[in-house]
Amino acid sequence: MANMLQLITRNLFNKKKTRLFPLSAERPAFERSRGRIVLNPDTCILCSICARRCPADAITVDRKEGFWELDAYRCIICGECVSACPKKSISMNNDRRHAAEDKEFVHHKVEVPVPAAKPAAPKPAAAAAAPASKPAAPSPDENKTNIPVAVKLEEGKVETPNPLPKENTETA
Amino acid sequence: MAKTVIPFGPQHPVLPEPIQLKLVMEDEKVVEALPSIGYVHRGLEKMAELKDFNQSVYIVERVCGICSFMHSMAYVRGIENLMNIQIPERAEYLRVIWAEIGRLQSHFLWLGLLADAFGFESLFMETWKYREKILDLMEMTTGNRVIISANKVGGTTKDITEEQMKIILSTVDELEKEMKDVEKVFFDSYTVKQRLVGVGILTKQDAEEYAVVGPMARGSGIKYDLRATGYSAYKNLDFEPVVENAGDSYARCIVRVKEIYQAFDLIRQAIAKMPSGDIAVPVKGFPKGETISRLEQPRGEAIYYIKANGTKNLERLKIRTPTFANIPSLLKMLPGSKLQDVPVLVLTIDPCISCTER
Repeated sequence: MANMLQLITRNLFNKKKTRLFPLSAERPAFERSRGRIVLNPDTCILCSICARRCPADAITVDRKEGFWELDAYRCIICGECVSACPKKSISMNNDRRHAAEDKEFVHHKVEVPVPAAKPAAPKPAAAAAAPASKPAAPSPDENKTNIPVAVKLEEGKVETPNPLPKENTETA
Repeated sequence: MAKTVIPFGPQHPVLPEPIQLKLVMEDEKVVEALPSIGYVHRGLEKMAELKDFNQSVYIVERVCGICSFMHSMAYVRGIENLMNIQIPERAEYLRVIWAEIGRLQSHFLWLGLLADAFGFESLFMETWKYREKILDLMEMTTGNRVIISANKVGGTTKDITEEQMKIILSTVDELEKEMKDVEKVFFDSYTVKQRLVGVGILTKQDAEEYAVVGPMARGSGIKYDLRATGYSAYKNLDFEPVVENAGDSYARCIVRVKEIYQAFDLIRQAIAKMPSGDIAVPVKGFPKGETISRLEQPRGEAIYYIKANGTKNLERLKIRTPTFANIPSLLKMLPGSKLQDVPVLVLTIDPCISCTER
């Protein structure tokens, strides 16, 4: 009984172990916390090694149309693409990811100087990987592309594609 | 006396995962228990055959949310065995550290769930409070809380830095001190003893006949711990398997509490003996042949059978998880027990149904 009273009083005056999250501050993310996958489209050569290494088939690379796309719904944030990228253009930050409201694609238009990139990125590999790494066919209304990361990077290179039927049918 | 059949599960407040037990009752006493599983089959073994053998590491990690690291460890050890890869010594120690951290969080989770099963809510919250610190360690070192994806064929993907090791050590010291408080409740509390002592006795002979594994076997007096065979870096670490002889639910609880202390100790030893050097070796070629890889998970022994044919896809991956070995013993323990003890008994085998069905 005395033991219990001691416990009760201790628990009454102790600091709380939980946080009232929206009211109080978040715990800062660890340095290594897995957040978002970010592509630097300036250095990307569309070699599609990341698309082939991705265990979840979340990345689509299309050399013809010149885009790199990440389906954030399929991505398991394992970091394979980050370590696989020969140009170190994919990186991972520790932004905390909140629940998504829309189906989210991180879409980058990448301009590849065609003659220069040819030896580094063989075309057959890109073509072979493309059919294997298709994301689930997005219907036009759920494909609201919401690209916070992409927009942040650089206004000139990165485009926010509107859900235009042409690109959607290409990815689908 | 007329017999009644009570369906227990697949949805039941005490069950974290779906398993159904049809309990044939005579009054308050269980006469027979008929299990049915198959509610969470996901076909992961088949999926592993369709992916690259390197990518399958991420699939086997998702077999079980709790012992995820050890599943990937069993798998990569099997593949490394097939391909004759000698991984760096540091990677072995890193694997042991993460495996023991995983064991800690699994045992804390189990203690909390056990407390919840006999209705001790505050004890449940207390143990899970400590588990949160361990999950923070996992997030600090690898970036994720549970599915930590730190293994790859040929080593590990992440390294633990010196500062992180200091944080791990201080957290372990802190937890050990706090664990003493919780231990008192589990070991000495009248309430807990009333619900656990003498409940669901599995004698040593029965345990051997039903081939139970893990803390179940050690709670029944069988000194069987695969870590003692010295796989990975365990051969360089000093420890003795925890064995209790009573064979009841209380003994299984004691085994797990003591294994928590053992894991603290193993983490300290591994950090003290940690060699410097690389964490991974490059892997070339494809695996060929067949192998069996076993290791001791928090719930017991897991067996991986891998058959590879020299291509990037595996021909067959078969996983035998510890819960699969422990369910038959549950059917031995249930007959003769009271209805109010069924949740506790189901919990003491530490059922992981998604493991069992994969």
